[in-house]
Amino acid sequence: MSLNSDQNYGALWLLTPTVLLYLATFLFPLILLGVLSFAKFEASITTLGFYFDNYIKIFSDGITLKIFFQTVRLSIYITFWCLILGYPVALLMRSCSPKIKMILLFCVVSPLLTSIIVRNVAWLLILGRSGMINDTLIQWELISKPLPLMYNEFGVILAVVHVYLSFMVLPLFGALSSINSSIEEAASSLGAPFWRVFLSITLPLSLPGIMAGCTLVFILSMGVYLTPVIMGGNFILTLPMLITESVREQYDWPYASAMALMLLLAIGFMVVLSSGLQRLVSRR
Amino acid sequence: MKKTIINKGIKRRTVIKSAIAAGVGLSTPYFFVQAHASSDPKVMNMYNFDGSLGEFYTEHWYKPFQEKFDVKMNFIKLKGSRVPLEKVQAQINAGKPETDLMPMHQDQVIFAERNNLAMEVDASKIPEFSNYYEKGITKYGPKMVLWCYGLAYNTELVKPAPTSWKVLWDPQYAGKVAVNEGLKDQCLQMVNLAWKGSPYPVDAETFKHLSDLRPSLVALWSGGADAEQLFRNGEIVMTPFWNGRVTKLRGEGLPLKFATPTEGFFVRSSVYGIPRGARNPEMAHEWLNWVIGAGPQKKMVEYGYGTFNKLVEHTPEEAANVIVSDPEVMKYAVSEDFNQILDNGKEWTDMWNKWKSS
Repeated sequence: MSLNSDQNYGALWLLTPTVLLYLATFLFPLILLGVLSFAKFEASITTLGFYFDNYIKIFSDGITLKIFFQTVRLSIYITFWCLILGYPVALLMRSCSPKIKMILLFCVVSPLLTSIIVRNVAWLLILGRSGMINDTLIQWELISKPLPLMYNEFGVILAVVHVYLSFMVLPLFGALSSINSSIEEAASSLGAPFWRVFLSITLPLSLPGIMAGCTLVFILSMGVYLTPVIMGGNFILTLPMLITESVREQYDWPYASAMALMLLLAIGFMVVLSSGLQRLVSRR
Repeated sequence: MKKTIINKGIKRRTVIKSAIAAGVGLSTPYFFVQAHASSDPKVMNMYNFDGSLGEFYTEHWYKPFQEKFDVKMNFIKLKGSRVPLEKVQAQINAGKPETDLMPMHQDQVIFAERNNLAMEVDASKIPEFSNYYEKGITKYGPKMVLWCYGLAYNTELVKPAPTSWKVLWDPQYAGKVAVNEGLKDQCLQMVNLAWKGSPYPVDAETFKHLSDLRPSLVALWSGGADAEQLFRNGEIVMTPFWNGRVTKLRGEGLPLKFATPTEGFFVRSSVYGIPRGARNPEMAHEWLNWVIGAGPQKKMVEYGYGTFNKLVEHTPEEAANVIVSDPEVMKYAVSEDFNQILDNGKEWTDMWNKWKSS
């Protein structure tokens, strides 16, 4: 046995607890999920077997697929707004002093340090019918009745973007920081205006960061649950909400398992697509 | 040299052995704790609700029992008003329910019965049943916490006091009302009561009336705490709600009242059952016998929910709050078909979701 393969075994031994943990908490439940998704649920009783009823229902009941695409659409909106709002922040972080950089970083990460309930209740106080914004606008006589700022898609997107912005900014900041600034300086010194430098150098070189950030935010958004429940007033339905409802109210584990696997496959597809695009970008 | 010795020592077989040893090592404390917990007859595991009802349980139903019987109670906090029976089912099938008692809504009792999740209680161990109304006793345990689903409204902003569910559809309250998404079966039955005079069937016509209401709705709230928040923030002036919460909010100074519409309202209760395979059924029987007694039940009446105990006396204010002790009001109570609720739940939920996303 060569020294190298011996070293590999040494590394394997160190991995044992992690592998065991993953087997017990990820792989085993995943197998259970797969088995359950082919079970049948009738008259409140689950029968194990190999039935395709749940998968057929997903594509034929006229609602699950619709909600799935609604979830994808919501995730795309969230990802888009995170990118639009996050890119300037990452650019600014790259160019400012270390002290300002730390302050910006703290601002971006701070929503993650707050409890989800506290955060959403804070949004109620800001966006509610008698919230800060509506009260101020009414006092200034700019509006006569409160604007519908929450319990709708706008409220959900705003609250989710607020949290997931950090998952966009951090990879973007990493990608932007790795760009050799002398290339941009050279372009500027040769007379290229700021927007040209940005479009021809900064943006293309930051594409790996954009891809990573978009993938992260999209995947997280596909699984978002509590914020749409609170901020959407239950009017905005996402697939995770449907899965929870199926388990909690109908006790229909088989159907919930099939939907969960569908969600997992969609996310897996997104990851594969994203890594393919990243390879394409890095080759260019 | 040192590296060579280490590398010689780590072979494939060693890795596998280490993995097994690590697995056993990691799981030993868990099995030790489980075995210890199951062997202690003085420990009982219970669910508790969040919010004010949970505080009530702790203060009046758990603490005094612990002190009187010198037992230790461990609590698992519930989110919302329903025990996650799907989780309990998985635990029971694995032979380890996490608690010794579980409060079940009536549709959950049917689900538990069909799936053999609850033990039948031994009535001889619950002598307090003799002071309980017959309809409050089931083979799985006593019914407790009688609550009503009626109309909660802001007394300053809704005038005159509503007597019909149809007031929810009144254009003057558009954008100021909400209905419940949690326990949506009640909401659907309410729409039927308002417009069809009977809670069933839930069909396209039901959803047509809901669609008429939709422009007026601020939110579809999930739990009582959400509705409470909507009232507190001034988002709504009216919603179908449960009476106990209204009593509590009125006690805190909110100008709220609970109305029982003349088209009918619903009365529900929870059955406290013992999960199959519970570790301490003896202590569970003990608690059930104690808690359905006049003392603990009177406390619940003071809180705002009704009781099946014949010995509990109500002050006029308590009688008004609990609703169920007033025969005149109870004339309007409509009984629900929980088999139908359970069996049609999936279909109703699909229709509800289609309506929501339409």
